[in-house]
Amino acid sequence: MSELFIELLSEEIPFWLQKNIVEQFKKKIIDVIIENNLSLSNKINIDSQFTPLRLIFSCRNLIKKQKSLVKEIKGPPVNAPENAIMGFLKKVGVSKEKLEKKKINDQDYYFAKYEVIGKKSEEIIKNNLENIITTISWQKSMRWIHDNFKWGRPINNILFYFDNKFIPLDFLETYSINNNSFTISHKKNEKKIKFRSFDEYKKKLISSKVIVEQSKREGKIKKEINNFCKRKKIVLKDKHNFLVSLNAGSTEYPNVLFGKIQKDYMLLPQEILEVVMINDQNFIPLFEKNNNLSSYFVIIGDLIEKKFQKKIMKDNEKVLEARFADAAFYWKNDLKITLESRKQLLSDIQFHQKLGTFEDKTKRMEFFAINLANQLNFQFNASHLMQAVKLSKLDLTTGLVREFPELQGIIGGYIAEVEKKDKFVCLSLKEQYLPQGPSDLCPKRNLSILLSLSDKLDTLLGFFLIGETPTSSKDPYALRRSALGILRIIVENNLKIELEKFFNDEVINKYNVKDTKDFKINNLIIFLIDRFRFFLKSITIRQDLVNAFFIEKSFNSDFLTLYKKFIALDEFINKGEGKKIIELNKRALNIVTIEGTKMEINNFIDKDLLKEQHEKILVDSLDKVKNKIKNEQEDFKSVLNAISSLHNPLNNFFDNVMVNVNDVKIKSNRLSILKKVLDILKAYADFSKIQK
Amino acid sequence: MASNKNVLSFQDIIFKLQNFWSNNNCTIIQPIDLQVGAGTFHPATVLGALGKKSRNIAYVQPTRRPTDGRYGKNPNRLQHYYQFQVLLKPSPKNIQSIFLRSLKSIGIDQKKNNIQFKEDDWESPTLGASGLGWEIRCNGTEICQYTYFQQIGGVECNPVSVEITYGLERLAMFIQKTNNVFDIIWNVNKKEKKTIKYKDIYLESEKQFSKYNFELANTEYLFKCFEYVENECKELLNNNLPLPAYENCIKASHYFNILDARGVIGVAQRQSYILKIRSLVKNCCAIYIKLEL
Repeated sequence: MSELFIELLSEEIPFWLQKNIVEQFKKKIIDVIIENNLSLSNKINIDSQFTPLRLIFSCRNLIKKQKSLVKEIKGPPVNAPENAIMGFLKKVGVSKEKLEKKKINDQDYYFAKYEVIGKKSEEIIKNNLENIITTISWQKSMRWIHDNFKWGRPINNILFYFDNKFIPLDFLETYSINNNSFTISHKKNEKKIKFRSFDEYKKKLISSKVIVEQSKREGKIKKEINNFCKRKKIVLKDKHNFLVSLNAGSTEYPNVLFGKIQKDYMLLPQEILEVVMINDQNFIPLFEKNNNLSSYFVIIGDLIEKKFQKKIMKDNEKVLEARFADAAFYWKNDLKITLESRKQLLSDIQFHQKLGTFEDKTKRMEFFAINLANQLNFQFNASHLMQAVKLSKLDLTTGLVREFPELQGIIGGYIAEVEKKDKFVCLSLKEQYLPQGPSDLCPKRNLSILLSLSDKLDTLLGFFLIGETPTSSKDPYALRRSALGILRIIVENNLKIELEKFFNDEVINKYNVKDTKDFKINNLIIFLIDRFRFFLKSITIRQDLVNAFFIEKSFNSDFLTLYKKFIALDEFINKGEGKKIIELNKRALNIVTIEGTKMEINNFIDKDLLKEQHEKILVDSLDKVKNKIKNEQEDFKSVLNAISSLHNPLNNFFDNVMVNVNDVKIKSNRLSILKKVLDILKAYADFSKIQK
Repeated sequence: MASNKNVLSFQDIIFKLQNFWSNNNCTIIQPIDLQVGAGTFHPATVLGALGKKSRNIAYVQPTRRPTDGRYGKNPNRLQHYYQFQVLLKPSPKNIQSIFLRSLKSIGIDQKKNNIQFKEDDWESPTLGASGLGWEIRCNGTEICQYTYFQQIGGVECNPVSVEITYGLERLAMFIQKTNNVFDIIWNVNKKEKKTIKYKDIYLESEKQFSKYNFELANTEYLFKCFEYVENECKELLNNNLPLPAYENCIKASHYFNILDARGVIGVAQRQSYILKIRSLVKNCCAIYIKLEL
């Protein structure tokens, strides 16, 4: 049993890049192992770890050397010209006496047997490593010494051990990458570490204060935060776990320090403090149990001796205070001008060159908001709604939003509070951009829903009108996020609306876009459907169901109903009831597919041709189910139960009725019955795509 | 900590860095005598990073960012400040440890501090340039920018240069433990026992230039200046003189920066000015390479 071990040592690679590369690299090693039969067991277990400076892979259970194989190869016919035969001999390296003859289609051919000598595993892996490192695809990468070799940041050293033996990698010289047999300790000590095995490597690294496992670094941070939080009766929010990961992925030995925010700054809106801490510094904010920001926050350092910790913590606090002081200055200034009097300033800010200023946008949003409120039959206070829309974008003119763009909306809400506006108006201003990420809550209050939907619908339609639609790699106006936000608000608030109705000529005219001839509403609906599938994938564990789920061409853009239909299917399948339908679908589909290539199957079932009892029963059941589907329309559970009730009649049909009979008319009629079964199923989902 | 006589003064920091990089194979050159928005604009960096010839240089560059002026009232912001710039082509293999030693030479020991390499990819739309690297933070303060150039003037850099930019005021504030940039000790005259502070040299100038940049700069005149230098640059390029042509790009960029501070450039217009400068810089770079200078 042999073991491979690879370490790539580089300069600091950003966490988000490094964690993706680990998986890709790992897969490439597995491919090499599989392709060359290097594993002793069927399950290939690669231990892969990373730090900002290291990528580490090890795999046990490998063979030392491939088995030698005898292979046979077909040559030219025996009567081929001599030089063709000589050419073949040369190619396989065998003498003519050793050739065998075999007959294929009445013609004798030469065959040669030759031995493929098994190669050493270390040779194979070594020879593949160059290919692996040069074909990794990075989302962002750079050149440093070599003309066209790219990596996330410069690589210092690559080492490869096989069976506890250092194997030199000659090709690294071409790329000016070191190939030392030793590694380096934590950067703060910068010592050479020599080792003979992977186990020894890990032990020595740990004692040099490098934790190679991301999960252990995260664990260390979390444990220390939790201990602190318990003592202080405060909490770390789940939504800030990403900061724990980010910090763990940016250090080799995380030290957790706790800073404190000065009292004066705690008077600022807490979102400002939060944004400054997170975006500027990757500090982790901590919260009181009542959800208010606590005055404590977390600083993660990389291997800091105890005696320096306090000074480093104080220095960090000072940096934060300078930023808070900036924010406090803006906040004080911003309150000097009322929201309403900022209207003039807003007309100077472009939303988009072709879509006018933010003032233009607000005017269109009024229109969306009123129409939405009417279609949804919302109870609402019209003057509050108009006020919310009119105020919604005014905070874009404040110093704070210019300095911290992610606080748009929130600042407006706070200023409105100071100006004693209606509390739901203030709330809607703060919530208008929600939800932004998957961990964000959706607005729940009517006013907030209307404002948030109006903003997103206006954005989405606008950019589609001017043809600025997302491509596979680029979505500069975050339209995917807007679309997802619309869908989540609809679904989570149980809103029955047909979005298509908002994309009419009256609305389109309000944009004053000169040339809209390339715009098709259908493209926008298709985009929304695509986002809807993405959304479904995020809420179910059954990705296959989403792929199987059918959305009709005539879909009227009522996503709530579509959502309910999917959820019914999801529950149905997860309860195990789907099994029957899947089997049934499979049998029917097999026959129809095979016979369909031989003859045309029409949609009409001729009742006079029904001979056997079980086919009559099936056709009766089909009619009943079809009626039921028609009547139940939106009670998808009943629809699925009705479909499920086809199981017995269909089973009996398969057991007792021959489809493949000599009488072509009867055969064709029976195929039509099966086709109808399939059609009924297909109106719901493509059951052949669902795994049992 | 102004009382601490042993604290490194602003000028000491410059001396130490110059010495350090001089001992590390660099030619210490002098700043460009024009108003630039960043040390990178120095032709020794922009044009020096092009082509195959190896170069190791370091220099102090006075830098101007009119929009960052605060009339001398903000303890952290200046419209005129200093960068210490290092350019190494090709980038040496052990450059990171050399860099960390340079910090140690001015008293920033990585064992006693938390030095972070925080992802920060650099892009200069006006120079048509980009690179990958980090901002270097010391206990939370950004003190340096560290970039592997990938492209300058739209041209792929080959070999790749590494650029290290030290923010001298930030470093001095950190080293001298002061919270106000104007309290930085520039020099301690030991004979006369006199301390010269940053404010003694620059406070008045910050006030006056903020007033000029934000309130008084004649925008009509500046728009015309922009046009003149743009044409001058084109004319020089027609004569295959990329060095003076490039200096006119620097001038254009500065006029643009003041106009921006005066708030007279709209969003769409802004983009078109940036593109104008970029296309001039691109042409300078192209001709510079063609002439194999």
